[in-house]
Amino acid sequence: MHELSIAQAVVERVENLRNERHSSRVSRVVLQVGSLAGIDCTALRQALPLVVENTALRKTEWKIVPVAAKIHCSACGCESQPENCFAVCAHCESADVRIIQGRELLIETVTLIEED
Amino acid sequence: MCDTCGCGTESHHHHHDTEHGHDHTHDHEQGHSHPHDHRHDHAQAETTVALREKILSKNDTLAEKNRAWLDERGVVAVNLISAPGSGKTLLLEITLERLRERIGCAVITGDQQTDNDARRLAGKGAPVRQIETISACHLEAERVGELLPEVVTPDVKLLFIENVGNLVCPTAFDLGEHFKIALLSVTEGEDKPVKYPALFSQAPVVVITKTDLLPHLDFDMTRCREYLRKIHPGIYTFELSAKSGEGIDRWIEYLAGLTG
Repeated sequence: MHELSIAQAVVERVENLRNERHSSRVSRVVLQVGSLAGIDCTALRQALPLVVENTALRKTEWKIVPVAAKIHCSACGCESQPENCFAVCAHCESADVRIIQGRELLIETVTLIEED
Repeated sequence: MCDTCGCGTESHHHHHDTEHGHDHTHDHEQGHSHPHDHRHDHAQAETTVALREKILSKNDTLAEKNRAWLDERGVVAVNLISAPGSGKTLLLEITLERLRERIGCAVITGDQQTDNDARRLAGKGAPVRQIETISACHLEAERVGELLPEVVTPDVKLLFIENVGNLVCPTAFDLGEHFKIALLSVTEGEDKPVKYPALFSQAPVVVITKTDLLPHLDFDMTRCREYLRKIHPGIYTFELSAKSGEGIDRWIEYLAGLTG
């Protein structure tokens, strides 16, 4: 539901970077979205074209890379991917786990076009 | 359509099983070999900036500023999040009345429209400000920060931020609070924590409300507590009814202890 706010934050940051670097356009932006970030990638992909209207990012290619959740078990020291929202170690079933991956909501790279 | 880049091509394969959480040196162009319709001429040069920056970093920075501002004044701030209608406002009404002689409280309350909540909470000895988000489904740190100097008067020690009724979106936006408190009313069903784990895995405290209705419902409290523990080992729970007053004393003593 808040994918539109996320899209607006991305576009604002990328436009700031483009202006700082005096670039005319941005060819590509790569985003990372963790499975625990509470973001629907489809909704985000639909929101981006709405937000870039009337900006220099109209033709930018958006790449959304999903990141799977990963937990570290304090009991046995193993890392595993939780199968559902119950974060339990896949090896020893301990609930004493820490989420080490999956909350990402990042702008990974921005590819700017420099005019000669 | 390609689910990874949304480019409309089905015939290529991505290789995204690389480990994350470390410095990236791999080239994302790899495995993306189909042609896109690029018409730039080659006098233009492309530069790729490895930003690796949180999308909500602007909100996070403003939230940190809010937290520092509150810390300087010794104010504890809690962010109340729940589905609409789970009883946040009634619990706050009772809470403000019970704390008014003991601790200076203040409230920032958010809704999409109307100042109904601010009016319900007014006249209970605590400064109250309403945020009408209009279309937004959550509060953001910037607007909260603007209201802090208005609402946090010198005697305030405890700030309640009543978020927009929504179990999903508000969890992504740090407001500068010290922690989140989730509310869950017994009419919502005992499996709410597993159906909406984002909030319940983040909030260290959950308040199960409207317990006066339990005789009329099939709500399974034991199972609810089990679900909460599975989602968030160590989560601290209150079970209360703002209507009947059952369980309220323990809640009030807990809040009073926060500002000690």
